[in-house]
Amino acid sequence: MPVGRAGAVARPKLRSRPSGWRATYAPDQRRSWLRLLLASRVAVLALAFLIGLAALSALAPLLAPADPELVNPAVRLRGPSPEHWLGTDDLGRDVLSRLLYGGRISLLVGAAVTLVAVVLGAALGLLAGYWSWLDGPIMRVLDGIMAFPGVLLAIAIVVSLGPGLGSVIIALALVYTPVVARLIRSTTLVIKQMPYVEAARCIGLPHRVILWRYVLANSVSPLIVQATFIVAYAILAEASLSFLGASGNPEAATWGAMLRDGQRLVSRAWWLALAPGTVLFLTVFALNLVGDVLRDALDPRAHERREDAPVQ
Amino acid sequence: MLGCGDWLTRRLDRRAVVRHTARLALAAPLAAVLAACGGGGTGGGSSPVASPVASRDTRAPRRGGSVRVALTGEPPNLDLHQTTDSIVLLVTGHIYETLFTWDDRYEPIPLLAESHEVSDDGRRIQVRLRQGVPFHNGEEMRAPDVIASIERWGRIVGLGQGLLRVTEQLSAPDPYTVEFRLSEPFGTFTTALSRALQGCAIYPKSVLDRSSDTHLAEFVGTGPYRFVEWQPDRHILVTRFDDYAALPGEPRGYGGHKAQYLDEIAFIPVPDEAARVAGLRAGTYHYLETISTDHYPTLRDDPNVAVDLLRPDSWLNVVLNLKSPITGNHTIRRAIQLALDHEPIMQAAFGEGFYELTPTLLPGADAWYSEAGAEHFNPRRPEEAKRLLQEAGYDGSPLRFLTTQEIQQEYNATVVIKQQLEQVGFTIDLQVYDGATLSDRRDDPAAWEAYTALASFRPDPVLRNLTCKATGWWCTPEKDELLARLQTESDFKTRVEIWHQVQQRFYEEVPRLKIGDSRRILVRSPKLQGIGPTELQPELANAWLEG
Amino acid sequence: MIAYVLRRVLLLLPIMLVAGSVTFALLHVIPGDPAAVMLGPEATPEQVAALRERLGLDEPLLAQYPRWLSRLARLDLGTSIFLDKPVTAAIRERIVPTLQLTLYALLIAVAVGIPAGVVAALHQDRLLDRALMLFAISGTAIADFFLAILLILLFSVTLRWLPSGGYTPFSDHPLQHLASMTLPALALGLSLAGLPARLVRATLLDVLREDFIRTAAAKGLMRETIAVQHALRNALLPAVTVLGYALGDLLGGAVVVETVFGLPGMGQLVVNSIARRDFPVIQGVVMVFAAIYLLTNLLVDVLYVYLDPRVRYAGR
Repeated sequence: MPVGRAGAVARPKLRSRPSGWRATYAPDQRRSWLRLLLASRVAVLALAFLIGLAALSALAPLLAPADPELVNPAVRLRGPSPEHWLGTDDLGRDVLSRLLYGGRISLLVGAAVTLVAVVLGAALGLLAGYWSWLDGPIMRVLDGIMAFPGVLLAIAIVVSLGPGLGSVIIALALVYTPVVARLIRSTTLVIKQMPYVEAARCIGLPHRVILWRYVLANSVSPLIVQATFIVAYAILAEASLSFLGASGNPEAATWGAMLRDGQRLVSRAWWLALAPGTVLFLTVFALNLVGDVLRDALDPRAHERREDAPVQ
Repeated sequence: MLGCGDWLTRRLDRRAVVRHTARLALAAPLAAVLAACGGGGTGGGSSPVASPVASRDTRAPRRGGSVRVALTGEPPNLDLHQTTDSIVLLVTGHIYETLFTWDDRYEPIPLLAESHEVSDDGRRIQVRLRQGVPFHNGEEMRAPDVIASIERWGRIVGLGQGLLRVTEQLSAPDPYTVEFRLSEPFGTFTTALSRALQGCAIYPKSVLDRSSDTHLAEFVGTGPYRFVEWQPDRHILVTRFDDYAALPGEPRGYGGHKAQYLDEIAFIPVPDEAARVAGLRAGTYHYLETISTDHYPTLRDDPNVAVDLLRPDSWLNVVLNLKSPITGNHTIRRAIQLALDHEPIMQAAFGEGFYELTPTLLPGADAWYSEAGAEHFNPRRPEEAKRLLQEAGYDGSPLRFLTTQEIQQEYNATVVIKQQLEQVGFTIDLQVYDGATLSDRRDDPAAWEAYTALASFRPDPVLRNLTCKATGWWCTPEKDELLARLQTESDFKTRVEIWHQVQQRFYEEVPRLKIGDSRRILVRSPKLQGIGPTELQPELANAWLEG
Repeated sequence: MIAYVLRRVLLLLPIMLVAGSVTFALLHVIPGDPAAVMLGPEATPEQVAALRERLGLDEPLLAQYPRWLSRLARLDLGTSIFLDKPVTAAIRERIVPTLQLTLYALLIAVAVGIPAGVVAALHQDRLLDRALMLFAISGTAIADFFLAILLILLFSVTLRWLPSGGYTPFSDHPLQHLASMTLPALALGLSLAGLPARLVRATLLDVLREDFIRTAAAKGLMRETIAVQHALRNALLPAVTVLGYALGDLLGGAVVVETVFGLPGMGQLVVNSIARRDFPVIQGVVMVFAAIYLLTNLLVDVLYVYLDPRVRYAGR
């Protein structure tokens, strides 16, 4: 899949038309998002799936039938059996155990990338949106990074820093930081003009308080939507990176790296690709669903027109 | 059935048969394969052990057609003198020719040379060239072309440097004779000039005049196929060279007659392994350069694919860094040798049935088979390894083990080796890089302790790079003396004797660890027939496409 | 308007400079030596050193940067180490397959996505709607290198309809060209089709509520006719815009797809150049990719102003 910045960027872009949601944005929306999310049956299912997956991964040491890194070449490339429910890979490692442990790393990559991108992007976006003299330089640099095809930027960074999970996380975080920064910058630009912010400034509240309590607090909802998509895209992008040879520690593999290995032997040992392929697909799928439902729930127009949500 | 018997008689001389019986004890998998072969059953093109030699001559060859060969990647360049990356051979093997080449028993035979004469003291060698051999650019090959090529090769390639070092004068008494005057005898003269990888390709002098030692201006040779175009990442195209001066008679290994049935050969880089396999099954490609033996069951069962299982001809080894404070210690190297169990390593790398465990350092070259040092091969004594580690005072500092996932077999083997070494008390720092970073690291003696490498077939020990300069830096005066004698000595028996001694030292000094011999599979479209020997590179000059 | 475009064009220069300098810095910390890659695993250090010298790889970084900048100003991207030709020439050869691939993929994305979006909107909240939208998300959720090999296994190995890879230029053989590009374009296009599908559906639903549509419906026109004739025109604008922005992603996806199908495009060029450490090529391709991306975005923005009179670019 493409790194997915377009999907992530395009939405706020589109909605940022002068007649769009931004102008009518109201601060009281943020309390209701969880309730709205829970109102959608599909979203609840997706959320339950994601939570279950996270729990399974977290409990991997308890659940995994075998050591995921222990090789046993004598039983390599065996199909599913009572001893190995999901078969073994080309080093005779138990696929199920690797899948459980791999979930930890994949979800960690998704979460860490998102966290770094959100923190860094939000900081840059706030600075650029709030102080207009910083806007030019910050946005030019971010546009410069944005202009790279994300996959290429990430490969180059991983190769330069040397392979490893840290490099992958840094690389992907850098790819998504401009996306978050752009979003926060655009909300900041709007919120900055709001009467209550001007009032806060008049009574002499320091910038730091205004930024934190008014601007950022009011950007939380779109940020959460954005973050959901970034988690999904980051997990998939990590798989693409693995495929192109820029991966973390291959011994403790991510789902992406497992899928890459499975792809290599797809005609010989279907189970190798099927297991990681399915969980990877479902995870990204569920994250997308949650993101969609959230976005529509948070869009004020959706209150009147429930049908705006693509999937209920 | 017939194919099997044929394979046995043609491939195994008497010594080899004895040896194979010995190997059977070491490697049950081969026994299984041979049994399957003897038992017959499948037969035909998809027989599990149909050697390429046996699959030849089934039907009358057809002239014409274009063959698509899938390469694993892009060759770095097409200058045979320059690159040591064996992927180029596939292409260059059809474009360029050398003065000598290998017959089917891997003995040197003349190719561009007609004959050669060595004086009694071994210090004057005259090579008579064949007349009327045209280059692809229309010029006739003559002595000045040969001299210019040998001189350039001798400046670039290690083995050539060895030859030119003892050459006092290189001259052309007449247009079809080249004369070497040597300061001392050089016994491996024809072997050196037969070399395939980094071989002494004969280029036209007119091209070399426009080239430098690091750059070849044009890809012109005398081979059966002519270079047409190279569109990187799309294809390298060669077409039949109609004026090719074919030798009369029958094909003999890489020499002899070349029938040039195919009109055109396209070499297509297909970096993705799954796409390579699928492409062969779909009929997009006729031949795959190399493919993991893991695909064997899939391909064997596919009627659109013919698979030939080859004899083991490459070996997997662990290169140790003798300049490192850890692996520089002989006791620690011995401990590594004692700690490993080779069977699972080979299983992980190649799969059951696709390897053998023999101590020889030149698998596939029967004449050089040696059991010297065999008592140190795969000893599997982890307890003793632990003891030696203590004795050596190993403090648990990490052994940096380099590898890459770009060569799956090396990576798989490395992971198994890592776990085996950890079990006897080593701390292993597995560093997985991309190919370019890996080769950069390997050159730095301070950056690593060990790496795993797959080494391809070599018909003669002088072609196996065990010199002091090779990475790992195995430098002992006695061994280097032996290697030097191996180059200059001409008597075969004496050379074999010397080689046994080198191998003995290899197992005693443990500069590297030989893990085992690997079999390759040759996969092709059933329509593609008559592929010649494949150990060095697949010879397609006598292959044809059935309609 | 003209002033706005001019200012945007001028703003591209510092962005390009940032992108170029980031790459330049990145490339010089990448370990690995192009000379060693070219010479293979058993090359001697002397051999590598000789080649390094000929290629001019030994120059210090500080000497290279200003020279690179001044050459860039003249649109000279240097010479490829590996391909032995100017980078601009290498790019010119490779850009055609990539543009074809992205174009076909876009066509597929539009051809699949827009009808899917329209049908879903017309069947709002019914089973067909849900199924189509699930399908749309599926496209974005599948790893494209895996989708690619599945397509090969189905259409090349099992059905034997299409070649599994390779490239035929359009001018050589139009039919073979299309055959060889179908699977790559499908692999790339399907993963993108979800984007227009979701957008078209959402916008169409919006538009269907507008007064002029209600008027049309009141006049007795069929809902389908209205949707296609009136609403779709209004809904297409955002979809086209998003696909414009998606170009950056398409180029990124092309990297993976070209690798699986062995297409000699920009994606393979840059991935292989990274593997071979062919620095001038990586640098050049990044500059070209960045320029394409930025110019497309500019074009989309301008188009937006042109097509949607409500938008006025006053500030920024």
